[in-house]
Amino acid sequence: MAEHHNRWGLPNLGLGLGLRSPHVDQILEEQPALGFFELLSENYLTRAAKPNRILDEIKERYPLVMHGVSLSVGSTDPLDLDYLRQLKALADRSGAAWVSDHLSFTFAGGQNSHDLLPLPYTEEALRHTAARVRQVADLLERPFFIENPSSYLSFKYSTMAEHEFLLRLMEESGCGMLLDVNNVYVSAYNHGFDAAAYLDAIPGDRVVQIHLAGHTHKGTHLLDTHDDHVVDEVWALYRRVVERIGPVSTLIEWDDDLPNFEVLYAELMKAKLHGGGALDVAI
Amino acid sequence: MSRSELPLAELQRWMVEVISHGPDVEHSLQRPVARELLRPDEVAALIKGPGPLGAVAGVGIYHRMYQLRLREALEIDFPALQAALGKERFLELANGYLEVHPSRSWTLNRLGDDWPAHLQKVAEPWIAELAQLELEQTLAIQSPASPRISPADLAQIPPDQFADAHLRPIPSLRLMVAEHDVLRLYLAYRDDQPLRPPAPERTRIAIYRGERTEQFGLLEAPFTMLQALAGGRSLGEAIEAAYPEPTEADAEELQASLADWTSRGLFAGVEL
Repeated sequence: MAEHHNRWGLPNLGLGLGLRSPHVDQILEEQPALGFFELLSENYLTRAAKPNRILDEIKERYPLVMHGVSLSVGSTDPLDLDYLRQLKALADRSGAAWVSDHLSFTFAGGQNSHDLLPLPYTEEALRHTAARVRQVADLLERPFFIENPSSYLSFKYSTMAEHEFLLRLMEESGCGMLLDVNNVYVSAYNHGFDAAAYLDAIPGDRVVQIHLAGHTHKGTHLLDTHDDHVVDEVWALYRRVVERIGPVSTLIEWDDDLPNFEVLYAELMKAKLHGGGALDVAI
Repeated sequence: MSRSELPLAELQRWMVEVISHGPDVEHSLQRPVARELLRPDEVAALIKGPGPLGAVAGVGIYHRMYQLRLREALEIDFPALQAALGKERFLELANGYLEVHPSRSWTLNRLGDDWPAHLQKVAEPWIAELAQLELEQTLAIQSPASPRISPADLAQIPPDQFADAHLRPIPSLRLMVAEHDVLRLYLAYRDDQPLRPPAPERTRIAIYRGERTEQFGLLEAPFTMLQALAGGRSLGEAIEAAYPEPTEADAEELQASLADWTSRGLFAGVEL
């Protein structure tokens, strides 16, 4: 198996989970062997007491990374600088090793869709998004990475495939990638492209983290629902990636129908069977 | 003539416009703002749906998710209102609100900020008041933590400085007046009791965050005094506002109120 290196010299944090409040008491009491926790950034951009207390306790025990859904990096509306300032303050306070968000837009015309809407993969969108990614990275003053989205429509006038767009975006903006293997699988099913070819095209040294998740089969298409076990086909794709680029910080996303912590932990440990891991990270 | 592509900004405005309005995507495609950006008969030339689904069905997936997500956000923040109205009426009012108040913030925590004011125009008065009570609770939850003074701290104010002392309220303290007893209705919901539309009755309510979000009713004079303290007036000024000609009973009420408020932890500090 390859040894993984990335351009930023960032460590492989091993296997991690999203920090979800129903599990927090158990995590603090039992301190399970985990490489890191991922904060859903928006849950901690608050002055409310409880999330801040949780953050203070968890950051003493585990490395943290931040993952958001509201940056709207592909939007033609101006960047929400107030949101970005809050994001930077949270990153500074939590000591997050890196910050990520999605290749998508969420707001337009002053309205927020609260969804990760797909972009057309055109030269116009590429120039625009690359400039915004550079601006975000400069403002955050820490490593910032883009995650490939799952999508339910595509644009006939796209001039390049999604992975080609991402490759050029990374080259032109200097950013790296949070590779969501389930999203590749979902979008490949929905749009009829080859998931393995997509993954094979992503340079290993651009990837700093991997997401895995469950999805829902709706008969005609797949929905990225984060509410179930990772399917075998996605595990196979994950193994393919790890064999090629080496073990990378890997996280299971499970947000809806959240199971008890033991089920979630067991799901994460399956990653070790597929070559992921490096649980020897100090806690 | 059909277009072969849309400028990025126009595409994004069209898409958010279409998914954020209407009972379904077919209706929202026909809205004038959407049609001006992209005619319904042009959609299939630009967009491809997932798998065997067409372009409109693909946009419809995002439309359904938007509608579900925003309604769910209101259900989470206004659970007593939903219980009191029933799901159908709640959804009818929520849909009407979201048509004219789409989300403009990155956080759904602020989605309901304008709902009580909107309900004042379109629904029975008690409905807007119950929504206001639940909105105040949401705002209390989102307030920052702060220290709290105890009854012992209050007792340490020197008698000669008592009238000029200022009691700084905790950030989560919220005060409201309703013309119906929506507090009783809310408490019935919380305690899983039968819910009935509230009777007309002026009700003064304090909401704050302790171990959990708390709410309690106040008589007129204590409410006036707490409102004056929360507004930055000194103890002497607040007492004067609430009890211009105090009787012995008023003095007892005043002392009992101060003891109750400090034991609840409603004040973050004393400024002499």
